[in-house]
Amino acid sequence: MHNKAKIILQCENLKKSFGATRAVDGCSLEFQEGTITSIIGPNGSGKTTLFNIITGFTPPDSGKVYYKDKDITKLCMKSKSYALADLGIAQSFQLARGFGEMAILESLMVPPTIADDNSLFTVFQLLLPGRKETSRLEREKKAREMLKELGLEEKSAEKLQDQDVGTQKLVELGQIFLLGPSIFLLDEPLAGVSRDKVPILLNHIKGLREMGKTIVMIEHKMEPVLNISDMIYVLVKGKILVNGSPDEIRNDQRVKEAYLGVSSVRTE
Amino acid sequence: MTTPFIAFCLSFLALFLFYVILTLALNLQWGQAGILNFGLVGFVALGAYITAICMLDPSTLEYIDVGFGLPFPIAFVIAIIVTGIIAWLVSAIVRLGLEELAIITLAFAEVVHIAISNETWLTGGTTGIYISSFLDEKLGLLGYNVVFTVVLLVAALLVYYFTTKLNFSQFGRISNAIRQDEIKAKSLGINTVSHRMKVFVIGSMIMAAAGSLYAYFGLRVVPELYPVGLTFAVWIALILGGSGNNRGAVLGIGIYMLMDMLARLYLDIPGHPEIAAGLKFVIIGLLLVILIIRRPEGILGPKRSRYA
Repeated sequence: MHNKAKIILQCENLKKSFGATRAVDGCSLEFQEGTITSIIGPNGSGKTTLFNIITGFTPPDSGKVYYKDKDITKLCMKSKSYALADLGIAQSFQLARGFGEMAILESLMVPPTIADDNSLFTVFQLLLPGRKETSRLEREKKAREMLKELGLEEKSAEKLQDQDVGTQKLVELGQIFLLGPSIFLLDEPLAGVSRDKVPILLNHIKGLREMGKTIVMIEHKMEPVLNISDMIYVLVKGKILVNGSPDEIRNDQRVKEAYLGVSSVRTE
Repeated sequence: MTTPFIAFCLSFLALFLFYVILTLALNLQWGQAGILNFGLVGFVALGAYITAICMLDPSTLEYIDVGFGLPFPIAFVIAIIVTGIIAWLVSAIVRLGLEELAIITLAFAEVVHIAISNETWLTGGTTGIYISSFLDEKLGLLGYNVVFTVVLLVAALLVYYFTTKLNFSQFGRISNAIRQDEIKAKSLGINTVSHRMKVFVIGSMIMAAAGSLYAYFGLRVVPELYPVGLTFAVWIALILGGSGNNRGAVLGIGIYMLMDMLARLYLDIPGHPEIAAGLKFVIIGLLLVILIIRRPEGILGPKRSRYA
């Protein structure tokens, strides 16, 4: 159904070993623009390593990564994760990471949303008396709008570390949204999230797709994955076992055996 | 009150202000950005010695071959810039891995100390370099100390103003973010290594400026003015007062120096001056241990941003 959509991100034969462990063993994946693609697989199947390769935190041993038809393998190899974020590839983490000591509002002001006012030259200009940091108000406004969007307005002054996992993950989603990326790589966005917050997060993720963003997601909660994904890759022991639409995955015998456990899958 | 006593008080105040600048610079590096700089004294010494060498007229001292006879303001600027470049090189070598930098800075300060003690042709070795100041010749003892103190006061206020502004700006926010979670900061498109290098260089330049000013008004540079203990005095003061809080930094160094002076005045056992020196560290150490247990964030606690 998304045949006409453009492939925005492509991994070609990626490999990564840690000692004798082949964490990612020749994976080739394609991600279509404006879709939600989920990567599922048992623990230790290499999903997070695959993510970290794409975001430049773990350099691959071999293979290629293309983003918008451009070879970005070099950036991945050199661990230039910040440069990849600049390009439009943003990542959230399995265990929500933020800046816990900061107020929620301020943690949303960290992403470099406004043209760099961080150079040494600008810094020394601060020495001049009466010089105001003009970008701060603009930044604060953007952060407040984001808080409203996330429905966390009344918590703006509270510290991030005092929040429940669901809120932390929401803030994390807000932070990476402020970067304006085209691809969201979400590593278990629902892990540890309380039941009442799951639908809120899922709505935001679906909202991103409606905005034309591409979402790549690792997730263990099967129901949401099967419900919202357009495409699913099943990773087992660093290799792609099978890929297809949610329905195909639901009915695939190999997946049932390798990952889901035959009895746990309802056939609808 | 006698003139020498007032002059003594003023020079003590000047020393305090000198330490205040160093503590503020360390707070910029450690308190805000989490950079471990164990070589603080090395940058201070560099600032001082570069100033002295730039100002020295080599014809006046026969054991030193190098000197440029420049006026103080030019020497001051050169000292800051050259130290900045050296700090940049030091941080570039290790690409600012935090643990590596802690070790490298410690070693760096030691290298500086050994170099200034032994390269007699350049630094005068253990004799050091005398700096001649026109102020010294024109003003009396009291007048000189007044000028000295006022200049350092202005410098300390400027550094306080600048570092506070810096810490509460986007620049400081990013430092704070990197200190808390570097991986997360990187994933948000922040070039963490380059940012930390900037912080390290700015902090080191402030240290050099303090060293340069203090050397000029102290009229002499000798290696024993720059012992490793200076680094740790500043560290103790910052942890005492509260890392990540400029007011805490000033308070911390105030308490440290007050204790230092009281120990000198009242712990003095006639005939055994070494006991006072030792006891001082015992007391400071004890205080630090109690503080770390009872109030690990320091007396004032952190104040890194306007939002929290």
